[in-house]
Amino acid sequence: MAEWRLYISLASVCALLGLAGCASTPMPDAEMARASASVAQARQSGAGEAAPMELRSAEDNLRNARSAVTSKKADRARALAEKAELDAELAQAKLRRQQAERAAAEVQAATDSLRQESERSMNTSPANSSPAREAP
Amino acid sequence: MKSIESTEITGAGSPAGRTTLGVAILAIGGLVAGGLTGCATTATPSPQLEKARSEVQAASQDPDAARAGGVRLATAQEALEKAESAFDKGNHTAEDNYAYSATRNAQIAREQAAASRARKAVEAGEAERNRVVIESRSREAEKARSETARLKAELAELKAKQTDRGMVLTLGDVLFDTNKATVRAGAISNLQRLASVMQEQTGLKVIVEGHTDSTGAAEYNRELSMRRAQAVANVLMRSGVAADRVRPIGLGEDFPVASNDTATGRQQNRRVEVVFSDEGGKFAPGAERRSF
Repeated sequence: MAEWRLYISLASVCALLGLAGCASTPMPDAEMARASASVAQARQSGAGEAAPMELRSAEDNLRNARSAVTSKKADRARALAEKAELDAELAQAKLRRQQAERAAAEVQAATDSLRQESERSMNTSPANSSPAREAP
Repeated sequence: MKSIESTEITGAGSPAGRTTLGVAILAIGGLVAGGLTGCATTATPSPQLEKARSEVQAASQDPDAARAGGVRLATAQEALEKAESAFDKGNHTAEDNYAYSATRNAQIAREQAAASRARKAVEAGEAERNRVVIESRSREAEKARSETARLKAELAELKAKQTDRGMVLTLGDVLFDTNKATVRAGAISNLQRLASVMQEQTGLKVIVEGHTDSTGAAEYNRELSMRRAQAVANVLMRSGVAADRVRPIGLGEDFPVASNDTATGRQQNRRVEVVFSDEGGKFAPGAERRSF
């Protein structure tokens, strides 16, 4: 008798939550949290300049994932959250590459100007200019 | 493949009679006989899977991806395998999701590889920069050494002598007429040579010392020697040497270099000595002499 009642109440809880929410997989809360953290981090670190397309894609996917959560589509939400996270990670990777390449170019430029300067000072060295005391 | 099979089976289940069923059985038999390859050619991979394939291939071919982006590359290859198997099973959602993961991970691996190359370039550039700095420093040092050597050579050419007061140039009494403090016209070119050395060696400073013999009053001699030193200094300054680099001083008869008892000795004592600093303007200790 008690068991029968329990089933009834469980069934009514299911009915309240809606069939989809109860029967299918739970909402991907962890994935959603990770995705929004990754996207926020990418945006804050300035990946928007280094990888505008990727960051936009990340934001679109995250927005779509959120609306999938709202409409209780767990699988779709999970897939979109994962895509958003991957987009954000790629944006970050592009930013880091760009920073490294910029640093390399700066070092190269500094070295070049240093070399030029050193060559210039070599050319103006007194060994190459004729001494003035040859005048009478 | 699954969808084709199920379509056939649906066809077999339809109320179309035995002929249809027979055709369906034949078709299924053909599919089985054709095997998996025959099946795969009928379905086309999604553009996402195509992209994943080419991205993973590109990442695999990047010489630095395995080292610098190894984790991402492995994830990409794994995801591509899953995408391929989802494609084989006709699971389009899984195919798309895994293909996306494969594509992005492969792209990240390549970015990591490129970043690692750039960081290596930074290291190499820094090493190169240090090398240039060291090279130019040693060149500067070499230049300074050769300048010092050149100064010595030039002063030697003026017949300056190395003494414990530094380089000292002794100009004989031919500079002046007796009891006069005007530099003779014939002696000026010799002083101009000194001036041109000083113009070249901009750090060089001199003390111009006037000396006399002991004939006459000491006070008069000191005054005469001072006027003569000043006259020499004036020639240098007129030739463009800054006043603060030339210090004239009259020492009178206090520092003879020979006996005042003979004419030759007295002639040697009537002189102007030019004491040189080093090229940095520093005099040797004891370079400066004072009258008693």
